Amino acid sequence: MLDMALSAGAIVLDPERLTFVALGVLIGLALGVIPGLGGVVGLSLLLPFTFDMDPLTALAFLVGLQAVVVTSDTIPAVLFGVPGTVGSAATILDGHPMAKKGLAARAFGASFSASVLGGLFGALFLALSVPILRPVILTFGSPELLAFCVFGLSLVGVLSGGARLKGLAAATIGVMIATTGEEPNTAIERWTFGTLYLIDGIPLVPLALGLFAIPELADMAIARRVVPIDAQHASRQGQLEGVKDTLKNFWLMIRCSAIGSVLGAVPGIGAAVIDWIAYGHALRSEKGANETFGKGDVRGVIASESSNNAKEGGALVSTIAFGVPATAAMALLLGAFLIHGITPGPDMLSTRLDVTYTLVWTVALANILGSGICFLFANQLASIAKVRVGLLAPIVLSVTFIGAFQGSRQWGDIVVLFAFGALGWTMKRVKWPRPPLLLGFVLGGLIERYLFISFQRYDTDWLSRPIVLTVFAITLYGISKPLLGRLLSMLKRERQPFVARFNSEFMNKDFVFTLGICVFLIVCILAAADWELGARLVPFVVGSAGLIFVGLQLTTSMLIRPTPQPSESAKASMDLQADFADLSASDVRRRAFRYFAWCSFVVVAATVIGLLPALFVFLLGFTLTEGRERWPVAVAVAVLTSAAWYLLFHHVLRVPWPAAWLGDLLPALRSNPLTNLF
Amino acid sequence: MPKLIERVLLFLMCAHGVVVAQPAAEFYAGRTVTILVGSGAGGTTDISARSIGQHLGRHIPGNPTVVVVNMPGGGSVTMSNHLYRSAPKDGTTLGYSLPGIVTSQLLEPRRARYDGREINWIGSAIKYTGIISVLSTAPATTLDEAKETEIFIGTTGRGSPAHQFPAIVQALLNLKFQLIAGYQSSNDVVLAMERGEVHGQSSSLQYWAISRPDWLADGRISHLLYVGPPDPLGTPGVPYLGDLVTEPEDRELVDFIEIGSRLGWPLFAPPGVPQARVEALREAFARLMEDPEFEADFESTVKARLNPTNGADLTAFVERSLNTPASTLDAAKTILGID
Repeated sequence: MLDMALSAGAIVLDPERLTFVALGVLIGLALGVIPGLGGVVGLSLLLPFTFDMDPLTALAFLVGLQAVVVTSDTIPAVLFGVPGTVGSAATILDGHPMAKKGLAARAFGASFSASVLGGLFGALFLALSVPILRPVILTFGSPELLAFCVFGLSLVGVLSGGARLKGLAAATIGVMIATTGEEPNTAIERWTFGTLYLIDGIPLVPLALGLFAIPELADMAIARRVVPIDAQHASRQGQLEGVKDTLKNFWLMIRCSAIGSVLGAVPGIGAAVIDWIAYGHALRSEKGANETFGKGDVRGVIASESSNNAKEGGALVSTIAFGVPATAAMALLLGAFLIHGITPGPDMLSTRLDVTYTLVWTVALANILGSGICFLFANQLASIAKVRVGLLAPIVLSVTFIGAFQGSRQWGDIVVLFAFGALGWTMKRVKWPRPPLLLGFVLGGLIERYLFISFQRYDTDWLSRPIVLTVFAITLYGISKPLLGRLLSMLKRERQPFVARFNSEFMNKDFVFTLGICVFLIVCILAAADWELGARLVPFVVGSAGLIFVGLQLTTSMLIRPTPQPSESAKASMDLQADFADLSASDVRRRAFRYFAWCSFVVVAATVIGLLPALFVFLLGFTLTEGRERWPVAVAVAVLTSAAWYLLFHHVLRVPWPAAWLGDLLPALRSNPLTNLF
Repeated sequence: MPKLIERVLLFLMCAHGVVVAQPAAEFYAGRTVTILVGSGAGGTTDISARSIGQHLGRHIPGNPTVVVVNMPGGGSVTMSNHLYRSAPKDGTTLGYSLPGIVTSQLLEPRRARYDGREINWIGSAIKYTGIISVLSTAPATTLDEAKETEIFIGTTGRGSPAHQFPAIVQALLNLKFQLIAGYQSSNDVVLAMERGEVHGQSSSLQYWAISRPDWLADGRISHLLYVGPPDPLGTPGVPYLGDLVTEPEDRELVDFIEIGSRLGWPLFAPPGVPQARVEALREAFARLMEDPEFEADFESTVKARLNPTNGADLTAFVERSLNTPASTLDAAKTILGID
């Protein structure tokens, strides 16, 4: 086996293959930087070009691309708080605050080094686990997967930081949103409002971009500044410091890489939450993390990035061993395997061991190349942030719109982006943590699925399966430990009578928002009342739980505690904070209104004149009015940016654009391949 | 300004008119034909579309470039709606859908906003043999045993053909299937079979040939019954559902289930495409089906032998299928529990 591994190394180092791996890496890095684009787009675009290659070169090319998308997705996450792919959403929590403190270079240093080490860990995991993982994975039935997902969801408590009730409520909202679509057992359409779009559920990409990217860009536009670039820190020195950070936190990196590769290897766990689970783990296990995470702690970046890259190696395991792709990108890769006549399964360990080890070497090599290139250009990339916000915000926002549209290439994607953008921004303003909502969304759907399969298949017997019991016990311990700790400390302290006074000033934004969530949950429960039990069960349960959390939150916000509790307020709220130090509340409101008015303009105008033309108008208008740029500058920005997106999305990616009114009016426009944008 | 716009519009319309009058070869020369695939990347639908896309261009007069773009959602209904409403109607954009596309129009006219009678059907390269297969270690491995002994069949959900076929079979033949719905994909059901969670699933012979050729070869799975065209290698000895029912209304129901498998994966153009171009595309497709290079490539990537239907036959078949009697549709809906 060892000589096979070495000869596979030689296969990858063949100059022609090496060139293709490098090419794949470059394309992968480029795709990772653009929000919404990722491995799926790249693989589906390049798959046809591999038809004529020899199979090993083709796979090395594609895997090389896929392995590094999660390396460069850090760049927009750190600089703008906009995740490049869904997998780097957790990176923004600490990466972006670091950039705001002028530590972008250090954040890059830490994340690229964590990425490459995580990626190498994933490759090693792939090499070692392929022979042994098959029987292990076969012991994970639906009940076990259910237990894993419940465990993942229990991290919501940790990820809520000081705002535990809000976090729990946000998670229930996430689960509720996840129930959108056709329920498999009853074929009842839940919250689809008669649209075809919602039948398959809300797609993850526009939801995540809306929740995290739109609010960050909003705050950038409101504050009218990008992150500060401190000359001293945007340097090799800063990067080096970041690398040292990763090495200092070596074991954290190893633990998070292990989380990434193991969870990546288990088919049926949402790959989109792996970074959050690693982040939650770091938060729970690292010293002092409660106080510093979410405020620019480099350990948060390391946790998220190492797990993110390590999962790619892991995800290959289940694809190779079972032909069951763990992620959408892996589904494409599986297609590539089949096209090249390689059938995943036990053969990959015997007759096709060369393929398996080629993949291992490719993942390792691609990670080294990818991080190397990122290091090389980190300074130039960091200086993007020097561009004036009036130019930068509309450009990034425009690509976010098109990127979100890649979710399912339907008009609904843009609406989802906008709706969750507004929700995300509001949550950020009233200090409701957003990560629990995302976690609830991804895991909620899976939990419902596995719960029904488990009951249908095993009745209640599955509850006594050993792995299920163990994981549930660990989950319970994780939840109850902080509660018990608090109880103990309360007992130790002198008993104080709990006196609370009615807070006459409870009527703030937060209260109104919480009240709105309360109404939302009640409406959901009422709307679900007529459905068959199978369709209504989860909405009822999470709706009721959510109402309890929201009710408690409302009650506590109406009361003032007699003694302020410093530990609560000092705790991070586990989400980014907006800082408009020099702006009055009315300024913030006015600018926010204008920003979201522009966003809604894009949504509406896209239905009239098509998405790309609407973005052109938006780029021009936003740069002129919000950015206060001069006409020539605004025109140049709008023309150049639109031309870039036109070439990339219309001609290279051949995006089928959503139907617009203009196209209905003038069908001739649709008949011309150059103007087929409507 | 309005004058200018008027002129531009006039120009575009004239340009359009000129385009319409061109012969197909002149029109397609130097253009790009986009095939929208109504599924995500990676499965049979996608792979077969890409194989067709790779070879079709050289058979179309003018040799246009052909590209394949995925547009998943709603079991190809999203793509078909898009093609029907907003894709160019000039023969540069074609659709390639899952076999369920006509059935969707019959069962869910509210969602499916296209009319199969108006679509320009170009042809289909393969049909599929729908088959219910169980592990050979399952408690029941024949239809007779399945009438006595309960077995678990995994499906993706009540709305999917993989659920509908066993559900209707169960009703017609009084079988003791326990349908476990909610798996994410056929691959997930196979994994569940491997770990003993379910005993079998409904899929197609190609599916097994692609994903588990070893199971087919070493007899690790047994087939209970099939619908659709018989497969000379895969189906000998396996009962055909059509032979097992006698009542005329049950026969109608079998015909209804078979629509998808006999339609196969169709390639089509939206309504309104100039007839000459539709004919050119149909002829190109027919020539493609005779092309040995394509055939070899298709069989090695899709793992299925060509079983083509030409445009005219496909049009007639769709017409016939769309005339399924309302009583049959009602019976199917009752069994499937959808309204």
